Amino acid sequence: MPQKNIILSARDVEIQFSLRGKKLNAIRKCSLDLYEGETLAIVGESGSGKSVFTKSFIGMLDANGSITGGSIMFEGKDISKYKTEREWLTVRGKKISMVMQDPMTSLNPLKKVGKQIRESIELHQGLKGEAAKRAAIEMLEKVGIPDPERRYNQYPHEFSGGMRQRVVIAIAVACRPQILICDEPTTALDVTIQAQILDLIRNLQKELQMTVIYITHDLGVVANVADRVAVMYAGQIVEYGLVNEIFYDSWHPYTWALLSALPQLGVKGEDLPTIEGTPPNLFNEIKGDAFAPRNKKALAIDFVKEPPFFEVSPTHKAKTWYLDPRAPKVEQPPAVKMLREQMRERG
Amino acid sequence: MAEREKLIEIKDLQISFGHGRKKFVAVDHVNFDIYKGETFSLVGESGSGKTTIGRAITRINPTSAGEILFKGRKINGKISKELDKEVIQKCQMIFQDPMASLNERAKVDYIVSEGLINFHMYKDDAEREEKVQRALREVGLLPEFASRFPHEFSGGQRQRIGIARALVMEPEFIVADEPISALDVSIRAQVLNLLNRLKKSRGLTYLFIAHDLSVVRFISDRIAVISKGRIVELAEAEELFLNPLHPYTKALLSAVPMPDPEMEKKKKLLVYDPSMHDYSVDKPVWEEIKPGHFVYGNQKELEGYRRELK
Repeated sequence: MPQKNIILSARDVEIQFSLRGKKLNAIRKCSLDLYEGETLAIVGESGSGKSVFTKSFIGMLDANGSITGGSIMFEGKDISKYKTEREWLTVRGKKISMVMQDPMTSLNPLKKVGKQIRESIELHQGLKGEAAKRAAIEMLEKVGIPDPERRYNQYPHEFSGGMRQRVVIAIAVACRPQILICDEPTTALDVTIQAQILDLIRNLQKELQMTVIYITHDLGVVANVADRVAVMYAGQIVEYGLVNEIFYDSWHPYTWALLSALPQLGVKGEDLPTIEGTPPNLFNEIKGDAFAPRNKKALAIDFVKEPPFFEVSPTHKAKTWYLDPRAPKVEQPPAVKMLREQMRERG
Repeated sequence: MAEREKLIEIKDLQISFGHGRKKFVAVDHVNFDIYKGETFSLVGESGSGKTTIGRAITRINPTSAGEILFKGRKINGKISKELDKEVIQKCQMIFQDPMASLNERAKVDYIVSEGLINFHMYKDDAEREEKVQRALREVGLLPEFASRFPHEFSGGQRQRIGIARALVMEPEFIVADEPISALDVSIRAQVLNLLNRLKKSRGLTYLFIAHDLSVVRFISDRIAVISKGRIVELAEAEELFLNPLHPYTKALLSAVPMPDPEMEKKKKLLVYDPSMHDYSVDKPVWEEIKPGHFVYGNQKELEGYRRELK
């Protein structure tokens, strides 16, 4: 892989929330490099911290949460140290912006969509009046909304779910951000509409040369959009690599469990492999590998010592003791092997 | 397979909302049978009328034309009180969102036994409790959970409560309306396994309503694809995936994301445009194009479909 520029670099980020006098360790020493122009997908079940982690890049943590350690370097500045709204406004919405999951709740139902798009254009680009309006209409057109001039004066309830999500995307990319974070952008939509929205984001990414982070739990979507994948569990990234490496040759037992549980890969008439138990309680200190209690084939050391990252390839690392040369040989599960064989058969 | 017993028969069903000028026909000319012991899936996008059909079978939505038969008896429209009671008991429903479909202010014990109370399906309190506990155990919950409130449970557990509530009525037929769409990936597999296991142990028949074809392939015996209130194609699950004929089915299949990056990157997305059908002269029919494989189209289209099958 040619050397690419790192656009954002998170190092050992820790995020805590205080809840009822207790500290919840939502993100536990998470590191991530984001390369310019790539599409990175972050996968994990709900509560794994994937949303919280990316929200910290734009200073949108809830009031009871804060970054308590590590650094997030963006354009030579450590944005994790930003405290005031004013500092954040130089980044949020301007250079890094976000598309939320539910277009129903992320738009203001009382304002016309044109005005909502203008808001970010006026704030960040300094355009006023007619110029701002023209820019907003141009944005609507760009995201594939037919008849943008009429649509400009309509309210969100006059749009269908897919069209509404297009409006949200228009707002997010109105200021030509360098990084676009899409938090489950299609979970609330139908499959046919989902495919269209994914296509739209891909085209915009090319046109505006953005770097895109997808947050999703749908591995089908990941396979479709991602260049690289990071798998998160209990506030940590446990495996990351190029998309082919994760789907055809993953090594972390949690990645295996996620892939195996997919109905698409199941054998009819047989039970799907499931992930038993629940994610760990993040109020408590976690000893060893956080996934060990749910992993039937966990090693003894998993319960005692936290594994470091082991290298599978220069671009692919997994945080599991399975890859330690001293570990007993472990087989990848049938689902992973099946995917790899299918890929080979196709050539 | 003509000998298989038909549990549900739907004949020329029409469901409409509103009257006069405001009348809206949500479902029209729908025909299908559900055999005993099978999982029949109804797939389509939102607004296609799939849930409406499910609700019509459980007598929640009234129908405006056509017939629904349950074990050979008509169950839509005006029916006797006894039959009404029987249908309500034997046809149960599992809802999409376990957060919204459970009474927040009632304990699990009451939620699960509400149907029993309405139908006086127990002699004394001990028997009722026994039934509730058995249903909870069957869906993999602990009997102690009966004294808790829904908010104390996770999404997957709540969906299990919803399933227990349906099971306690000893149904023969269950309408599962997108039972896993609102759940996390890891929990989806558990709920699908549970539904499959119950189907075997209790001899249940399911109508599975979904918008995601990939999930449906794993769970169903036969699949019907519905678009704008009309069923456009119906076939055995594998047949539908191997030989999709109707352009809408093809579009749906192409939109389903598969967990295989190489395949996904090569895939071409098909878009369905309903205006491609010219039904002005050549009227469309519902035709069995191959044993067990039905498709909706006019003579010219059917000719094309037949060629495709060869």
